[in-house]
Order: sequence, then C-alpha cells, then structure tokens
Amino acid sequence: MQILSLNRIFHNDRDEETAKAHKVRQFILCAGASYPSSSSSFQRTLLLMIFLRQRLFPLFLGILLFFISPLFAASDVQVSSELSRHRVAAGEIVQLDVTVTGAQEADVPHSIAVDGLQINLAGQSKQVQMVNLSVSSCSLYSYIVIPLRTGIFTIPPIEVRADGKYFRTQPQELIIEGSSASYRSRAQTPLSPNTPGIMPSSVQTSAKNALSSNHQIGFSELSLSKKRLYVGEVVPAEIRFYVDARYSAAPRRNIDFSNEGLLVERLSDPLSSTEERNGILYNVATFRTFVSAVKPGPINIGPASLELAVDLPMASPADMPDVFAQLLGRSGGITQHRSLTLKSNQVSLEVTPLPGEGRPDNFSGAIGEFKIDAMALPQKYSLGDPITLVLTIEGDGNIKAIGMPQLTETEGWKIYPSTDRIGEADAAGLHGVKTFETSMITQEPKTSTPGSLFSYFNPTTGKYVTLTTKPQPLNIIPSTTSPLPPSPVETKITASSSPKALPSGPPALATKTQPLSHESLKSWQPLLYRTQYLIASGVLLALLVLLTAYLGFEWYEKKASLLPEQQLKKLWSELQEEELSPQIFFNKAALYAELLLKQDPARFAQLEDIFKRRDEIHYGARERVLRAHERAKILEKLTAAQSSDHS
Amino acid sequence: MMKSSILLSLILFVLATVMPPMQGASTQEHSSQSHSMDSPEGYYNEALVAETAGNLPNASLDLRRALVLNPQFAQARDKLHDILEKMGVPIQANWKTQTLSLFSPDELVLVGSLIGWTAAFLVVWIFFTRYCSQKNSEKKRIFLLLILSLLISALGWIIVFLGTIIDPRRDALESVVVIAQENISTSTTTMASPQENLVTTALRSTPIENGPILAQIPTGTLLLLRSTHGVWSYVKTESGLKGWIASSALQPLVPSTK
Repeated sequence: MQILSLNRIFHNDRDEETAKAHKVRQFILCAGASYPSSSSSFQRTLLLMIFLRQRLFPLFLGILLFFISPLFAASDVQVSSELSRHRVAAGEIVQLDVTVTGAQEADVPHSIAVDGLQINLAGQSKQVQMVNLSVSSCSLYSYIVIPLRTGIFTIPPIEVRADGKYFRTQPQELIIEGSSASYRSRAQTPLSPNTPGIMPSSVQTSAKNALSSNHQIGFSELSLSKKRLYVGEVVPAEIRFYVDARYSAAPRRNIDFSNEGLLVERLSDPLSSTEERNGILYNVATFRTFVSAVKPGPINIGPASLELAVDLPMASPADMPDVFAQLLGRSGGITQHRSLTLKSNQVSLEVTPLPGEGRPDNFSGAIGEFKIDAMALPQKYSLGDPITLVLTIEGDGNIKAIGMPQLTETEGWKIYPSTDRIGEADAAGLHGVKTFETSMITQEPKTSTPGSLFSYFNPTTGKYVTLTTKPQPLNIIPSTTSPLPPSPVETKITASSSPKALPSGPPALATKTQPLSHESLKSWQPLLYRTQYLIASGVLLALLVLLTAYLGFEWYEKKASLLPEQQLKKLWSELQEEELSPQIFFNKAALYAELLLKQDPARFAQLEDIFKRRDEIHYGARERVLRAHERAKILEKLTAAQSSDHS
Repeated sequence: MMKSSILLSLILFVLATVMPPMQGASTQEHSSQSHSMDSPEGYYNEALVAETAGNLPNASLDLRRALVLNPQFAQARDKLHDILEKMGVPIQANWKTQTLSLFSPDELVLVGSLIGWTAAFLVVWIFFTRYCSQKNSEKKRIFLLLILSLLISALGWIIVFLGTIIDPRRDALESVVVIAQENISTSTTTMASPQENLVTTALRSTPIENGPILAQIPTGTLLLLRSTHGVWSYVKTESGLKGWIASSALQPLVPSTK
C-alpha cells in the first residue's frame, strides 16, 4: 500500500488526504489499545498533538499562504528586450530575448521584419516565483537573429500584448561586421562523429542526492546524447528520478529545469518503470525532452530538480501489541512526512555557431537530415480549379522549426497562404514529417506546378544542403464551357489520380467547389448609413422643401389676385337688386367704383359722377330718390369702366 | 422645368447611392484604399482554401463574411450550411434570413427610398396644384388621390425600414464568431460527434477561468459582443443566453482593418 509510483501521485492530493485521515484513525486506535490505564488519555492527547503539529500546521500554513498570496501578487507588467551581443561578425547568430514580467499571458510576434536580418521566434520559457509572499511570473521569449548581410541594424520596438494591453520594447542596435578570422576558423571546423566532444553513447553521470540522509531514498540523472552541438540543433535529453520503491512519494511542485542559453521543450509525460541499483529496487520516472542552444559557447545544462514529499516510516511504540505490529508493519502504520529534493547532475555542452560560408539564401534554420517530396492534387484540372501542392519534409532534426520551402517558377499562379502540420513522429520525437499544403489557382493553361527549394544544415557533415523538387506535371481537362463566370454551386468528386495518397490529408480535397474568378466590391456598411445615401437624401429633402415653398407661394399669390374680382362680382350681383335703397345702392356703386379705380386709377373721370351723386344723397339737400333711368345709367357707367379695363 | 429637375434629382440619388466610390479599381487596390469595401467572392475563395486545408472554423468565418457583404450569395450560403452541419453548429433560420434569401437589403432600401421620395413629391404637387385650386365638388376626388399618394410614400419608407432591419451589416460590427484556439485549453473541450470532432468553448457566468459554465458554445457559432473585460468578452447567443467567454476564442465578423 505504501508503494506508490511517482507519476500516479502527481494529481492525487485527494487520495493523499484520505490516506492521512485513515492513518489518523489507525494511530488513535493503536494508542487507545496500547494504553488501557489512566495514562492512556494523556498519551492519546500527546500523540494527537504531535500529529497535529507535524501534519496539520504545515497544511494550515499552506492554505493561509494560498489565500493571502494574491494580495501580494505583483501586478505591474514590464516588457523588455535584450540582445545577447550587439556587435558580431557576419554569419554569427545572435539571441534576442524578450522578457515579460508580471503578466499572466502574453502574445509576441512570431517573426520581426528587419531588412538584412532574419528574426524568428525560437521558443519560450516561463518561471513563476514566490519570494516573501510576492508571486511573480516571468516569461522569456527567445528569438534567433540570423544576419543576412553586414551593416548597422536597428531592431524596431517589439509590440507585446500582455494581459490585454499593448507594450513596446526599446529598439536594439546590432552591428554586423565582416567575417572575422576567429569566426571563420571556428566555422570551418565542422563537427564530426570522430570529434572527441561527441559521445556516441549517452552521458549518464549519476548524481546521488547531496543530503546524506536522502541518498538511499532517491537520486536523479540527466543524460544527453551529444555534448558538442550547433546553435539551433535539437538534441534529445532525458531526466530520470529514482525513488526507493519501499517509500511512497509525491511531487510537491513541477520539475525545475530552467537553463540559460538553451531552449527546452515541454517535458513529456513521465514513463514509469522499476530498476534495481545496488540491490535496491527503485521506482523510476523518466521524462524526455529536447534541448537546443540559442547562442554559441560553453553552456552548462542542468541540474534538473524535483521536490518530493516522502512518507518515511516512524518507529512503532515500544509496547505496541504484536498483533497490531504485525497488522500495520514495523512502523505501526505511522509515517513521517518529509520533504526531499532530487537534483540531477550538470552536463557541459560546447555550442558551435552555424557556418556562414555556403549558407543558402533560403535557409530558414532547419538543422538535421531531411528529404523532401512533392505532389500535386489533382493532376488533372480545369482552368480556375484550385491545385494543392503538397510538400512533405521528413527526417531527423528540428522538424517543428522548419519553414515553408521557397516556391520557384510561380509566374501565372495565384498562390494562397500555405498550411502545415506535423505528423508521424517516432517514439523519441526527433524523427518526424512536416507537410506543407499550398493551394494555388491559375487562369492560364499550365502543364506543371511551381517547383520548390529547401535548404538545411547537416550537423553530421557540417555542410548546408539544398534540396529541390521539380515542377509536378499537370494535365488540363478540356472544357466546353467557359469556367470563368460564376456558376451555381458545382460540386464534383475528384478521383485520387496521384500515385500515393496524402498522408492523413484533409478529406476536403475529395469534394471541392469551383472558386469564383470575378470579384465585386461590397460595402461593410448598410446603405442607410452610407455617406452618399445620407447626402443624396438630404438633397432630395431640400428639393422637397423648396418645391413646397415655391408651390405654396404661387398658390398664395394666385389666391390674392382672385380676391378683388370676387368682390366685384358679388357687388355687381347686389347692385342688380331692385329693392335697394338709394343710399345703399350708391354706397355699393361707389365701392364698386373704388375697386375698379384700384385696378386702374385712370378711370376716375368716368366714375367721378358716381362719387358725387353718393355724396349728394348722403349730405346734400336733394331728394333721396333713385329713379330707374338714373339707376340704369350708373350701372351702365360701371359696366363701361369695367369693360374698358378688360379691353 | 420643375418636374424635370425633380426627375433628374431622383436619378442622381439612385446613382449616388448605388455606385461604389471607385468604380473599376481592382479589388486589391481598392481594399487597400477604401477600408469599407470588400469582396464577397474573395472571402468565398478563401473559405474554399481553408476548407481544403481542413480548417472548417476559418472557412465558416470567411463564408459568414461573404454573406454579410452579399446576403444573397447563394453559393456561400449553401457552402456555409454544409460546413456548419459538418461542425455540428446549429443553423439558425428566422424570418430575416428567409427574407434575405428573397430580397437584397440594399435593393429594398433603394427601391423604398425611391418610392418614398417620389410619392412625397407627388403629395406636395397634388396638394398645391390640384387640391387647393379645385371647387368643393372635385376636392373629394383629389383628396382621395392625395391620401393614396401619402400611403404610397409611407409604404416606401416601410420598405426602407424593412431593408435596414434585415441587413446583417447592421449588427456585423458587434458580431463575433467562436474560433477556439489551442492556448485556451482550460476553456476548450472536444467532444466526439458523428460528423467531426465538435470543439466547444465554455460560456461562463463570471469572467474567471473556473467560473460556472452556462453552456458549451460550438466553434463557428455567431455571437453578439456586448462588452469586454480584460481577456474576457461578454456575449449574447442567438438564443438570448448571455455570459462570458475568453476573448482569445473569438474572431470579429468584420475584419479589424475594416
């Protein structure tokens, strides 16, 4: 029961607590049974206090620290960048480190564009520290800077997004000088298997733990397959932790394996096994990873350390009955919780820069031994159909860092961004296959796809190798209709005409749809919100207002001109009435005459008698009688005046 | 004279609203010069490429963009339907999508505006030149004509309103699509489905990593972005569910450069 393998205990805190509670119950039961006298309660209390002090106090302290630690957590985010060297000879590689402190997460660019330099992100590491109750995290992003020519370069500020905010680093100046003799001498000395630095077998230096009391309980080993390597070369590393199989152990925190100047990939899941050393059976947890150096020179790797919580058996009470001792073992089921740190050996590495001479222009950092294969799908196509060029790179080395090979003879092709995937890695993880798929369309009758160029550095021979793939032959399917205009959805099944199928390729290639060769422009804004619509609507509204004003004014004028005529018409009809009194008749006749005079004052001579007669009727002494002939004469004058007006 | 100037204004209105700012420029030149214009066919082609590469979430995003630009793009609509079906994303169909399959929102707004403005001019014209000058006996007939013109104008503006509310571009700036990424492993889970591996992202009730999960949102789902808080976004689903989702799992429907 006490033997628990290392990897099983990584995530079983709950089991551990259950086991602890069980042991407490066993312990109290044992104490009660052993001390039946009056002192039994005292002994039980004493043992319980010892147990609480040993077990619960650290637990309480841990919980307290867990809850108060965020109060002291550093919240300021700081971003900085640093070059490993500011002045180097041509051909040497420089490391650019971007450090992000105090951020939970950060996004950095994968590459930085500087004319004359090739800067690519090579890897990252993260470190979380807790000092004086203050929790701080630090992420280190390492870029490899490959000079392409000599000169003085300024690496621009790098924009880093950390915790949702954007930060910029300071610009860095880098001077690339002409090839130095020292550099050349180093570069022209390639590493070979016969070089003493390279050990064909693994370096396995056992480092027993420094604690004298722990050396029998556990130890750890770090081993690498090579001690001399090139910058960027990937080397497998293995860390093994040995714990005496008689004790149960659980890790207290993650493995500490931070190394300056080295990129370390994420550790694999542990492989558990048992191994006998010096007659003692050990539980072994083996972690595998890959390391690569980012700068030349001597580098020490390790140690890798792991802090464990080990249950050590305590001596049973002297007067424990045999029956319990037999049931619970020599310790009586009582164990002591103890911290143990396993620290591995260090390994010294000699890192050599990549040679500058013979470096191809399209070299993108691939180091190892690779081969490349090309395939076009489909091999028969109609104009406008997408063709997928599949480039497969297989080999041993930094397969993940390999970039898209350079395409040649691309005239007449519209090439879309390529996608890549990694597959078929071996158990060690060093051998792998990376597949690049590039979709391309042509409107010209092409008989072959573009070719490709891929360069890598072979660390065994110490030379650069450039591989090429020839343009893949294509056959055009004669079409009776023009493929250019957009057709309704056209789905067709393409039989796999290639000699070999895609390695776990996307199923979408089997069923495809014609792309559209014409493109129209549409706005992201609704028509109602567009400026031209609003302006046009405003113009129309102004026109409507103007039209309303114009027609309204016209109508008003017309109405005003019609008013006197209506009055004349009304007065004339009233003057025709026989029973009007002389006063009223002459009043109306005078009013009628005034309206006519308003239209034409020159008629006054014709109408003057009407005004005189009206005044005589009102103020004179003459009789107020209106005779028929006089009435007719007045009306005749008014008619004559009006008719003269019309004439 | 007045009639011809009004007619000319209406024609200019149509030209001004329909004609893009730079007719004849190539797509690439245009998109670099005018950020408000884009090509639905270009997004459709990119979706085909993404689908060929097996990247269905990005293909669905490109197709959604193509459909925002041109809601009547039948090929894009059918392709999006297929891809969402493969991804296991529920396909929402409502009266707006059905109307969009019949009418273009731009055409509705344009036709409605033309009807509205023409009838408005007609109303003014009839009122001043016919209704006011007629005798009482004929005014009733002209009044009916006036009411009919008013109704036609109102119908035109109703069509404009309809074209605007069904326009997907109205909400596009606030819309996001769930594109799960590898770096949010704490929020993303993969479930086996008959068609594909259904990748979902957790919609949480609080903007913290271990907040209570309200629902699992499939990759490719369209959401409405309400607000953001740090690395979290407050979103609303089409079914009305509101919650917090990791911002890194979202892609804006309208490209950020637009």
